[in-house]
Amino acid sequence: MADVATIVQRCRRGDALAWEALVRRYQSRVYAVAFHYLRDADEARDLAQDVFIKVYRNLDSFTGEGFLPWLLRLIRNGAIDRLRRKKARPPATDVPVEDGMQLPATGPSPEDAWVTDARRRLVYRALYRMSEQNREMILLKEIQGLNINEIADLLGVPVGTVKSRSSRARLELARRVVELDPSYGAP
Amino acid sequence: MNCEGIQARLQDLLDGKLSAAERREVEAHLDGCGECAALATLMGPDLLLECAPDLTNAVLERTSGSACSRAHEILCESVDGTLGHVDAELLSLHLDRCGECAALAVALKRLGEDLPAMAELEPAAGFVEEVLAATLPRRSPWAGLAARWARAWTTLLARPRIAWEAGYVGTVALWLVVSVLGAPFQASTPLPSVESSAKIVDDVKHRVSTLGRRAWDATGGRGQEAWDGLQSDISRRYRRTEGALDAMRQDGDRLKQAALEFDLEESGQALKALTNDARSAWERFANAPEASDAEPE
Repeated sequence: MADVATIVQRCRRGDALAWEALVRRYQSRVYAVAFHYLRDADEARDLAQDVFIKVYRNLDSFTGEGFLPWLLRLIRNGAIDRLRRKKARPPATDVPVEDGMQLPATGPSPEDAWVTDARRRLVYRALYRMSEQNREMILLKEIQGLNINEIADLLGVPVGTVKSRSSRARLELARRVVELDPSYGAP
Repeated sequence: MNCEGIQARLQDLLDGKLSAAERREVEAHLDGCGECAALATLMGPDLLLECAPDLTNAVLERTSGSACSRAHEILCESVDGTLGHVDAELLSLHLDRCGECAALAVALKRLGEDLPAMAELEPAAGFVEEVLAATLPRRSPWAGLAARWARAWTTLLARPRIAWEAGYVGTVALWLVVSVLGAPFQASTPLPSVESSAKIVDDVKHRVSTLGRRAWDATGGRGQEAWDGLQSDISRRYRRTEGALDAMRQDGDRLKQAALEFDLEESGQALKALTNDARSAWERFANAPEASDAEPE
């Protein structure tokens, strides 16, 4: 499979096939990260589309190195904007929710589709009980596989801070998982 | 070998470091010496295994505190395989005794396998097609401007108070055009003063009288008869419209009153009646005068 730099170079020349290949290769990753930040399927889909459109319009400014960190930066900035707007805009109506009452689902959420087995569901639940800072660290380092320098660059913090935060985040996640299921990881 | 020499070799005996001959000698002494045998029992492995856990915890509580926090510091490195040999051995000893830390270590190891699998999440069908439709063919940032304008206008026109707002904006714009900017409706030259207006009227009168005189000379005196006939005709036609003009005045007053009272229905009816009156007046004026309309002698 061609490397990203080659595909991006072809995209710059207007090769529609290369652009389609790039979108197909990264769509699941972009959508997953957007969903991790926003936790809403529709919002995540919109954000993922916006990110690809931004990538398309800014292909000329991409240097060819660190495509994934660049992509993650776009997703993160977009997610922060959306969350900020959402926070500033209160819901149109207040719907009282009684204890035990279940709101009707609008369809299978990606969460349900994705978490097919109990173990992953457990990790997912533990992940969203963590602090935002630690969860983001897990998302970037453990899930998306960025290295320490890339994360430091993305978050604008020193490398040492990333290292310590990363260890703390992993321990917190392990604790949360064990709290939910003490037998997690046992053979 | 005396008791002192035997007791010095007891630890080696327990650790299995004595030769067969030495072991036989020490064991023979222990069989005959109660004091040395009691000491050997205290140092025995059974007693050590039974007491060590509690003893360790008790000592740690009274000295350095729990070692778990130190274990947590290096757990991640241990799972990643980047921990030094000595630290790894010490951590291993701790994990053998501490169930909580051992569970964390196991969880960390399993998370290392589970988390990377969560890097991707398949969006709903049609995602790629939507992105391609929104991007291809490669366009300039201005390409979508027309579509964005259209969307903005649609949104603007859908506003509930758009008519009121448009009326307001239009009024302000008209006022600006007429009153402030010196636009087409405004006279480009100053209006003539009263004196200059009188001069213009005199000039016009002079021209009209000159024209009349020339016409009179050209018709040889028949023009007077024609003029008298025209005046008489107009006078008769005007008298025929007087009734309709009175009705127009009344309906005009009615329309004015209804407008002041914001009575739309009454205004509409008055306007309709006024239109009928105007049509009637024009018909009476335009039709040829009848004999009965002749000017009384």
